[in-house]
Amino acid sequence: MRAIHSCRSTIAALAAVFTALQLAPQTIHAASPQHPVVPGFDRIYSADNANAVEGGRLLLTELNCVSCHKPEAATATLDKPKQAPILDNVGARTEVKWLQNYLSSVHDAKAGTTMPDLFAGLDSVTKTKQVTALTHFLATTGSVADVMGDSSAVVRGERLFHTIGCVACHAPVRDGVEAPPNSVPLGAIADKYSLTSLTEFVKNPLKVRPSGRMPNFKLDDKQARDIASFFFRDKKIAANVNYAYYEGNWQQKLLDFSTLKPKLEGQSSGFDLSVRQKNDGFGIVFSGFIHIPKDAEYQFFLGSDDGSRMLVDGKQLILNDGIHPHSVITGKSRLTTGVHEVVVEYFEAGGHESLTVEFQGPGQSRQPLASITTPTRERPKKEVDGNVFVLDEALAKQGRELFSSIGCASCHNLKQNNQLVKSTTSAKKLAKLSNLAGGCLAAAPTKGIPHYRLSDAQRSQLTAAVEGLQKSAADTPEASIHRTMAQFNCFACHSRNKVGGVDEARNKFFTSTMKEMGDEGRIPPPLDGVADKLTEKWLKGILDNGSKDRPYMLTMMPQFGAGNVGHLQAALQEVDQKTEAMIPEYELPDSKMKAIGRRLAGEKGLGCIKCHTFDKFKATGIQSIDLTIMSERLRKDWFHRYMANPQTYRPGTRMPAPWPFGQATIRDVLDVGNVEQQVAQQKESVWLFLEDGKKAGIPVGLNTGGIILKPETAPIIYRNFIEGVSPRGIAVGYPERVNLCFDADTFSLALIWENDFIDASKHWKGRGQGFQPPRGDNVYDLVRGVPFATLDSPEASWPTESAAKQGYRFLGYRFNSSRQPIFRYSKGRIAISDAIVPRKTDNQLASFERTITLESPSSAEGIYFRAASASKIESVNGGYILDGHLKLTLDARHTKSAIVRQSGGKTELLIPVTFTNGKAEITQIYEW
Amino acid sequence: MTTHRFLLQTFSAVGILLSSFAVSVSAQDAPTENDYYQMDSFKLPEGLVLEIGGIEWFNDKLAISTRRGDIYTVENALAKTIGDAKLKPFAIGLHEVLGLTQKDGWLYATQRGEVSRLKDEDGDGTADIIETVCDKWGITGDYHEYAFGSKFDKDGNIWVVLCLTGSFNSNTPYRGWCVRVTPDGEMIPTCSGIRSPGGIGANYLGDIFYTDNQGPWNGTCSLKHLRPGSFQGHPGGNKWYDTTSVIGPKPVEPVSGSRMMVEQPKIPELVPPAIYFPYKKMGQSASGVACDVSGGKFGPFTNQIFVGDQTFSTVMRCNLEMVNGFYQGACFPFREGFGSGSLAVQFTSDGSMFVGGTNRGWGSRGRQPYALDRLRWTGKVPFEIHEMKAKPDGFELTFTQPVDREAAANVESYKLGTYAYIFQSAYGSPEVDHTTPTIDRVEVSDDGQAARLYVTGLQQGHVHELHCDGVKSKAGLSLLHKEAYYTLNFIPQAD
Repeated sequence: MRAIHSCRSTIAALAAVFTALQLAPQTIHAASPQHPVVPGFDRIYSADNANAVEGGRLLLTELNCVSCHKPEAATATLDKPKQAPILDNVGARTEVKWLQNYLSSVHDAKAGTTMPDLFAGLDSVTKTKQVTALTHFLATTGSVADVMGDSSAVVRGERLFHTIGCVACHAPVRDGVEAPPNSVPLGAIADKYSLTSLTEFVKNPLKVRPSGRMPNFKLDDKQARDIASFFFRDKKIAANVNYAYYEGNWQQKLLDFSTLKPKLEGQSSGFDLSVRQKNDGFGIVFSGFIHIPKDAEYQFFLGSDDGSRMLVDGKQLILNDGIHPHSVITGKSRLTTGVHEVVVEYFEAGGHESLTVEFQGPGQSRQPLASITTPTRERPKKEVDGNVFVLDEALAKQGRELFSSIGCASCHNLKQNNQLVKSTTSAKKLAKLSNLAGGCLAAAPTKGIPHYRLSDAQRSQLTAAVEGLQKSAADTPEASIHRTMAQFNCFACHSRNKVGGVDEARNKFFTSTMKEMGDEGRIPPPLDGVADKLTEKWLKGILDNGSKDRPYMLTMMPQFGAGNVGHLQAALQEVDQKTEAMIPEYELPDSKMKAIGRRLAGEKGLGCIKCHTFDKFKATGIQSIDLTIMSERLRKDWFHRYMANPQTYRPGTRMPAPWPFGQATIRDVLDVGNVEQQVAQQKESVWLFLEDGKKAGIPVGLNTGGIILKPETAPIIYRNFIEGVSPRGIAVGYPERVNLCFDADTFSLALIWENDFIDASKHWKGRGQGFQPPRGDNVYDLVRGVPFATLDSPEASWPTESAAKQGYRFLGYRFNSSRQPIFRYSKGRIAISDAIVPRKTDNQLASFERTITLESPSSAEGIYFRAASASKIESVNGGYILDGHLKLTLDARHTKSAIVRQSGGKTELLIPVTFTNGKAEITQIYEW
Repeated sequence: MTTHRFLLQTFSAVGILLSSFAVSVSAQDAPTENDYYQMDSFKLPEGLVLEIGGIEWFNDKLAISTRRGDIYTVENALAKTIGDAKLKPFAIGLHEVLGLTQKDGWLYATQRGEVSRLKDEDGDGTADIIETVCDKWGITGDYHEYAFGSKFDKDGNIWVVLCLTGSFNSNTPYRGWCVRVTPDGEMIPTCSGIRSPGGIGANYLGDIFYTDNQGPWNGTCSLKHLRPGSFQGHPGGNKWYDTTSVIGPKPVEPVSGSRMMVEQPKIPELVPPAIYFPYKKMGQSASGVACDVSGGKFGPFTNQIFVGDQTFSTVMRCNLEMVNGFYQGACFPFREGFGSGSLAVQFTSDGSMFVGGTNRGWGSRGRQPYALDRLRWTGKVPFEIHEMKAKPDGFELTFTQPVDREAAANVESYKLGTYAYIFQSAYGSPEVDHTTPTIDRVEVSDDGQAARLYVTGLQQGHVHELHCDGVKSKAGLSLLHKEAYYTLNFIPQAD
């Protein structure tokens, strides 16, 4: 592809970033920690005046002392200890060379590790023997293969690592940034893992480290791989592909390389075009072998600029020939277990050049093919201490015994053939420990005793704890909350009771997509009163699963796991939860209150939607927490108190007081004659509206991309598919902001609602599939069924067969002088006109007046009008209340003759129709 | 006045025009469609969405109906120069009106669920009464259940073609049927076998045709004759035979994977498509149907049928003939470049053609979301194949202008190929069963306005695709459209 300059410069820029990253020195550690790093301990208990018993108590769980020194259940309340990593498949995630190295010098290989050195005090020959045996044993659990990352993944991974919250606990990996104190060490991560195994680990750390000190950020495959790639940025991978480089004049297509003579041959790391010697007019044939782990279909992705093709076992799988910009073509192939030859031919005529070769298979996400290629048919050999590592069964057997006997199995779970390898060590129970200056607490390493390299403070506090635990006072929920927050380093992000919160040194790594939100948009919230604020269910959900309620906050709340932190919910609830808000009684129906709440949430009300998103719709200003999750998230009691003055609960929040100084700024809404009541009822109306969650009507002022039909001077008719009505619904919106839908299939007034009429976009964009609900509020769903029937007696049940079968016929509608439609239909020879028109009220209720006129050319006897059918009909002064919601008023004549009856599980209101000179008229008023 | 041996009765009316407006243009400066049929596009008011599904001349105005369910009237639609369209709402908020016709001061509208009639009683230009004429067919709420209504037939009926529920099923009565709505509002089930109509209209004799679209049991789009009692090929709606005795017993189900003309002899009710519109050659979504009965005001194609294509934003031209008791014939490209996806096609008595378009939900070559275009004959006669007719041993072509005899008589001036479509329950069909018949010789009529092609290897049941690249007019012009597609369901018998 000929010169695409912008494209080139972008690549160049990326390359520059990549180079900069590669050249960046590792983090400058002021001083590598000389003691096991327990961040909660270092944060809270490292001071001289710290509570030694509490500090030591934290160490007992975090260093997992209790795995050997069992506590007496009756004498000590100890939290669940931090379990050591599960080693079932440790060989499949760590390099043997690293295992050998790490075991040989635990504290030097990973300064700050909480794993003790089990070989301290041994002579070097014994130590080497034991370490080698253990390494062979661990290597029986699997092996890892070298894999390459790519530069764009490194750039993305670097960004993720420094934004999502990794650096809340770990040291930032940035040029010139000093490691802050309390940084959980990472060790030589790229020597330990392979890119693939680190990706797997990052994707869900709880799998091998179930105790949740490294929480699960629930990253997707790509994000996990990006972060892993960042750690592998400097990793030199052994050459894994052969190449033959050609120069010539490529005009249109790939040439037959077998007729050409290569200018250069060799091996490269991956399908790497940097082996070229010029930028235009060259071709490369890459070849290598892939080791397919299982019979399956594999997909390959070949992208190039210009042409390329891919052969598997000598057969062409993908042809991406010709001169073109970078474009990817895919191909699939069923491959059997074993070794397969792969050849990629490539040429570049001129301009920009690129080549990407990727694959995906069962259990393997899309990744560079080079991650599984080798230059020869042989699998690559692992080297340890300069020698090729060959697994020795006898050594492995010895290692297994050591794993049991020297204490590894006391902390690490490792299953073989589904059997846990058991520890054969024994240690005194915690309560029975007497020599607190010896054993693990001894200053110098002792043969056969785990050596933790504890600091003096750690030693003395552990001593205090072991002594103090025996006589410790009854535990309190707040103390338990505090310990858990220290164990899980919650304090790295959150403060509670003035403890913890983001360190100065890490502060700049807490960022937001909404700079305008200030600290509120980037710093995780303090946890004071958190269980007063959040519902039990929501809080539990966050603790068990993590959360992403604040989409603007780039730091994520990861999953610590129910088994690890789930108990916090009850403890927090016990300490925090209050029920003291003034929650008002109200007279209006709920649906009416919700309509008012919706209005208040909208732009002409309190304007909540200016800063809060509403489901998928963006706010008009900043994009704060979604309103549709509020009622699930927040406790109603807290909501009422918070709304009075957000500053008292969240100092510094940008959330304004909607009812400043207890005053209603929107005075005409719920004006019940008492300001305190008005404010309380307005708050309650907003809450009731929010309670509908994602089903709540969309507040006015959001740009929904809808087509909102607005009757301004005359009614608008909308005949289409209305939710809840037959496909023959005829919706009418009136400028009076009341609306109805008449069902021309059953001749019933089906729905009435107020405020906005309808959003036509479902039917007027695209093909128009589906039924559309009313756009407005306070929807009352009236019973369907024919309005008139001839009954043998007033007790006879209302007929249910189709209106057509009962002799009904729809005749359409006429407009009156106000362009209001008067529906017309007939039943046999009776002609009926049905006028439903808006009516003004002096209360806050919406209202329609309905006048039905019947004309019969012959006498008509035994005809009834079913004025209502509802679950509940209450007789009130001058009318009836339906379902506690709608008030129906009949004219005086019919009130006298009306029959309220139970029929078919419903209460019905029937009116006998009497004709005078062939005419009858029925009037009723709906208020809701 | 020149005449030729194959002259048609209906053609003679424009004979004079033909000779007086013969165009002479050099090959380098090839004429375009617009030289003969000038397209004028209405400038529609800002913000008004007019996805046009029906057009009718009503109360001295052009009435147009939309998919959104509105009916507007356009003043001065016939004015020589189109200015901004002066639109007035006649009725708002109906349910997707895809058919307009009028009688006695009432405008009849076919909505999705009913035929209604509307009247402006107080003369203010808007309807005061909307009266349901017939709502006896079912709708379920599926978007696919379109209803296209015809003009009145000679008995005062409106024919309504009802799309299936989706492409395969009929979930409520008479989906997948054509019904007739009588003047007193009764509904007569008339034909079954319909899939997804795009328009309905009569030929000059008053027989009703509709377009159906590529999909199940429709290898490609086509023009079909709605003979009462007929089965149009898609059995999806055949269960409703159980509910009506009007058109006889349920036909035998066709065998999927067969060919139309293999199945047709086994199913007496099956009327094969009169004209196939080969997919992606002529179009992809056949739509409105209108017949030119202006008696020459629209040029030389009097009594021919014009059919829209929504995807291609075109109008195609068709000539029909009766062979073996069934309509069949040829289609030709006619005019491209309509503003949006052509849906409604309507002639007015002055010889103007109005085309209303929309591309909502289905894309079109015309880039506008909706459009109203007017097509008028400029008075110049294009050099076109006027008709293509089947003969026992070949085809007969007539032309709108005398041909260069030597070129027209040369078999090398033509290229003929044939193919069929699979008649199947699966969606659409590729072209199959290709053959290449031999054109043995060509005889040109004495007047040079007709050519008789003698062909060995005609294929019954195949589309015969003819390219006439070598044919030139006497004046040296190539054909404006060189290709023709004849649907040879039946090969006529020799007299």
